[in-house]
Amino acid sequence: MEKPLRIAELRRRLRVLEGFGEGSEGLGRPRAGAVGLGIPAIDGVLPGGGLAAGSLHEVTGSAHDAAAQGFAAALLGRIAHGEAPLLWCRATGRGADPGAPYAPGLERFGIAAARVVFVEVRRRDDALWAMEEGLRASGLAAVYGEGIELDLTTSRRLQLAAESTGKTALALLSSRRAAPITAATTRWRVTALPSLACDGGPRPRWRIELVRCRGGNPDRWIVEWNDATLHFDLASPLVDGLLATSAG
Amino acid sequence: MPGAGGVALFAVDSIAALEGLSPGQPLADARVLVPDLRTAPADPDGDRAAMAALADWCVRWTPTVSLDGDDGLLLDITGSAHLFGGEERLVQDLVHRLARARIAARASVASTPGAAWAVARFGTAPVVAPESTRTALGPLPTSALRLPMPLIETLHRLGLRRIADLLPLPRAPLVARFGEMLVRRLDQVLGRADDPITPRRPASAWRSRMAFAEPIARREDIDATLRRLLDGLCPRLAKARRGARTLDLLLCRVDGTAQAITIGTARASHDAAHLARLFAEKLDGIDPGFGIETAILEAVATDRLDPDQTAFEGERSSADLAPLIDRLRNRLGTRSVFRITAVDSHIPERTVTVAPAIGDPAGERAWPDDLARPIRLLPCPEPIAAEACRATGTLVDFEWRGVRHRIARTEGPERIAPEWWRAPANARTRDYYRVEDEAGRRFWVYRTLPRGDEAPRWYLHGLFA
Repeated sequence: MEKPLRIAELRRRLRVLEGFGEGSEGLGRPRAGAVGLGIPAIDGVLPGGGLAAGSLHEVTGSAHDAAAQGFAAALLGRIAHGEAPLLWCRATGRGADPGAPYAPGLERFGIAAARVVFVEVRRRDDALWAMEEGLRASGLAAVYGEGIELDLTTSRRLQLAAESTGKTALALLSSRRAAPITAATTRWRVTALPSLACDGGPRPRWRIELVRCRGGNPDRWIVEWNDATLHFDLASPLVDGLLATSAG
Repeated sequence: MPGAGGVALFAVDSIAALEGLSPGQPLADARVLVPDLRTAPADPDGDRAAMAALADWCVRWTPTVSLDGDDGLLLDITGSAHLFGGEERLVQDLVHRLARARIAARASVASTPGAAWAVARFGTAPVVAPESTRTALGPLPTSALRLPMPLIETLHRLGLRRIADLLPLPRAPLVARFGEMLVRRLDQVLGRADDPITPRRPASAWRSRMAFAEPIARREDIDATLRRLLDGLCPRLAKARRGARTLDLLLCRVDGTAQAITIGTARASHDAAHLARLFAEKLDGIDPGFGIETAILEAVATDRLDPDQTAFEGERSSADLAPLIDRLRNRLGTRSVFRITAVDSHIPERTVTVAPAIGDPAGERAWPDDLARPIRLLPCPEPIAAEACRATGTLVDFEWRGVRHRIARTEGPERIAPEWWRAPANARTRDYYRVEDEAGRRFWVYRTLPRGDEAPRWYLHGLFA
């Protein structure tokens, strides 16, 4: 077989193995229950049209602001929009406490505190254990973890647990220069951006970068979160381009 | 044991006692009497812990076991003696098993705790029948009545050396001469007054028990035992429409100690599989030693549990969640798993409170949704080195955790006054601002309204997304 052909064939098989390919039984089906961000430009890039259910997704950002936290909460609110409860695992661990999630603030991201079961532990391993338990248990809409670190082994465990029940796991990680390779399906990097004046007060505005995406390609956008209607808005492309160049 | 006169003996065994040694004797004297004396440092705390473990182990004979002083155990075998072939056989079994665990012990059965105490220490009969209590106690010394030392010495001086000497004496002069204690003790040994036993573990009706001819030690066997115990207990709970909230598993080892594992559930349960899984986490820490000969499972706390409590939509989801929450709580601690509910307060840190992970959320209170609230709140507001505009009083820049932030946008203030009915004297009214630095990071800061000639101070309280 010709080399490019062989590579194409291998790529196709990889996609099938990763669960995004077409035309094959079982594994090849696009995952059911992918949850989009509600912006066609972004959802079109994500295989399956959104964040695949039954897999692990990572959101990274600076520990000195809550931009990544906000984006993660918004995603979580979209994933778990039903009545089912959420498991929110938090390792307080060492170092400066970035603050506890504040329930009145979470409601502005579509997360009703009454539906959240919080797990707060000191050790990261305990938080990871709780996440895995939550993913394997029944009755939860999604599992969220923060204050944790993931490597290939731990992320694979979570990914497998998520696959086994079809639940979505979302991990908030602090961005590091040499981020380890993990088994997560997507990894997002979120940076705070100055908000624009608009009616009803300024809205959270972030640059979101899809750093890693299994079965898809990296990309980046600028979005705003509308905390009145609980949806994302894509910022105008012109502003996007300007800021992307000035920041990059 | 070091004392005023140097190191002294704390306790001696029966052989040493025959050699003429006694507790309190200086070690040097003892060494003169018995040159090859073997000693070990006294460990009263260790002794007490060992005694407690032994008490737990004795639960194999009866659930009502209590510690009696530093060197005794009281077992209430009412109703359980027949399970072991009668009182005599039970005492034999007990002493035999203790001997096998290399524990020297004396035991006797009597109709009152006081009589059993006296006969075990000063008498010889293993079993004293109720009708012969008086005759059995008569020849015993007065110190067998659990009396304080000075009182015994007084009795001795008066020639009252045996219990038989006291029994025929009229009560009123006895009380007048020696105090009420002596008569109460006499009444107690004879069963004329109450002498309650406080069991170390409260007895429960929900018990199941397994004893093994061959001690078990393998983890698989322990798991299987647990399953059989649960299979014995759970249907009974289900039939009585009850569920366990706290379960104790007691594993009695051949060497005369017992290990106890306790699990708790957030919602009463009689689901054997679920309860077994909760135990599984903790069984890892079990050391079977040379083997486990008896296993006892006891539901210490139970709640009413009606079948199929899933009438309402919301109810079902929390019922489904109960197994998960139990597992989390048993491993991570009860306080680590919780929900957050609203409290009627306008002080930001006081509007939220922790609620149990399962159960009715307290009320239907909600937070007002027209106020900008951060997504993260610091556990305590952190003072920031801030520079404010002189004219407007708003923030120009501040430093927090070593990073300098130049403010590009400010919203506010939102004034929040302390709750006068519970505010400490140093509470100040706060003016909250929502600020955004030049990079777009959003914070919730406040300035305290100064009282008198204090300078206003700035704090960072939360982070906006």
